[in-house]
Amino acid sequence: MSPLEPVRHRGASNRSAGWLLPLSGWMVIFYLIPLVFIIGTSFRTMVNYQLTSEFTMQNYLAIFAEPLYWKALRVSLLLAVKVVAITTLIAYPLAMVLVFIVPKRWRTFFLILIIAPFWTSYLIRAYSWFIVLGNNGILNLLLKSLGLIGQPVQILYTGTATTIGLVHYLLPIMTLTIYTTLENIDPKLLEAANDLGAGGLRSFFHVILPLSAGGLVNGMMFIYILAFADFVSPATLGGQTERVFPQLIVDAVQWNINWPLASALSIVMVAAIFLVLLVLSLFRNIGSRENGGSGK
Amino acid sequence: MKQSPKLKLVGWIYLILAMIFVLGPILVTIAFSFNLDRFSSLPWRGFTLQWYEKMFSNEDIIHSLGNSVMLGVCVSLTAVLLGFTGAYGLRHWKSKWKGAYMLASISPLAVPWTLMGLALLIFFNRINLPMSVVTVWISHVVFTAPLALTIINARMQTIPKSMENAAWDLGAGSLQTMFLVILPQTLPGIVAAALLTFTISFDEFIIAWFVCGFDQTLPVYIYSIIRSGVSPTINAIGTMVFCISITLVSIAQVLQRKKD
Repeated sequence: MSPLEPVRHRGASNRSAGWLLPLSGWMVIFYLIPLVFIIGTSFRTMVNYQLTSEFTMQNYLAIFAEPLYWKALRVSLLLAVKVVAITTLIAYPLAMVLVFIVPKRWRTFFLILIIAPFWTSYLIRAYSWFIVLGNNGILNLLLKSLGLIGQPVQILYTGTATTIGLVHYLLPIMTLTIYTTLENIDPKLLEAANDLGAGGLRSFFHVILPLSAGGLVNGMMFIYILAFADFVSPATLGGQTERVFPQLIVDAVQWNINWPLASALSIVMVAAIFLVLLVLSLFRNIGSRENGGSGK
Repeated sequence: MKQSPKLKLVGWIYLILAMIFVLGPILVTIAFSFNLDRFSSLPWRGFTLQWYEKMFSNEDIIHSLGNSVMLGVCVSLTAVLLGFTGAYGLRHWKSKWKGAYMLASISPLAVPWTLMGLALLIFFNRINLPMSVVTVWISHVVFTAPLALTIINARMQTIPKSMENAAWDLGAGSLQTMFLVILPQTLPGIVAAALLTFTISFDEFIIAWFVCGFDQTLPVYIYSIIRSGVSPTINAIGTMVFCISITLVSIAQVLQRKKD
């Protein structure tokens, strides 16, 4: 060690473990241990509101034997896929407009207007659709006054309302994710494509889309998890017409007070979510290898 | 990239339609919170503040609002404290496990809230901690601290190491360096993290529903009443919640985007 390098620098580095202690402690006690507990609980049963101590597979067996749970799993999966597809289709052009058409000094303004709702109360946002979609709601009044419909259309308390609520919930965060990746694309690449004679569509498919694929996929995975695990939109806007999987977890806690079953259900849900993500990421890896590793 | 005027026009129209979709329902709720009519529908019957009077004279609302504000403040302070110490620790930690540690500490953000809420409910029950705002506070910190960590860490990384070394070489101690060099430079990130974590905690419903017991927070109270349908009082609550959240979040966004 050279004499010019003060020992103090090294001392500070060694003390870093101490600074990490509060965060690590909180996460171990209130995050890791509860996760271990929920896994443990899923292998127990409840008798007279007391957890038993012997190990059992009964909750999992019950879930796999019950068609109701399979159906809810399918409903949730389809809903999540639909929401991800619609949200992405709306968010991508929106992010492109923000990056390529809106002048720079206005971008932050519009971006904040679009993103800020994500951090505000999701409940209130779902509620606000009650006023719009109800039988005497703004939308029906508007359609009626335009002469498009004679009778009010039933949208509230249907799957459509659930989908609208979820898309509305997730659109801001998806737009932000895509916006961030698009903003990082070097404009010189687009100029080069243009100079080489590529039209708008060709630049899009050969430059913009491949370069934003990483952010796009990350965003889709994130909103897929949120859409799958949500019960607020289905329970309020959807009027519980179709039981989604998270709703069954809530029911098991609220009405049956069956924590072991609820634990097993939520572990099955997480497993289902991540199984789909795993399969998708395998495809993604294969895809990027075919592109010579440029998929990201 | 050059665009034809036609494409630009289509783009702006699309942007405006998207804004109507995102902000429209919220603006409608705000508008109807001032409508004299008991039913949230057209035609407009006239301006009133009576729904706000009703809201503020409802004890359940005031009680749960008080809970939520207190909760938000405690969560925000704790999350920022953990996030700041964590980010500072990471800055000086030279280890190949650094990336893994970072990933593990932000992983709570990817765990479905239904699972997290249930896991915490079972945990608190097992350690005999009664459900109250305190258990909600503990739970909210679990996923707001990682967020605070990422925001503060991003800001702290913009401070060159040489600045710290200079302070050290000029004789500042480790604590002095932190308070005089690191803390002031990280401040915008800290404030942004504080505002954002407050808002998230203030608005979070699912985990709070699991672990609040009979100590309702505002979102848990709202959930119990919105399923019965539209009412002008909920419009007023919604308007208040929106104004609080949007204001705090917008300030946080501006602070985060400002790079000097």
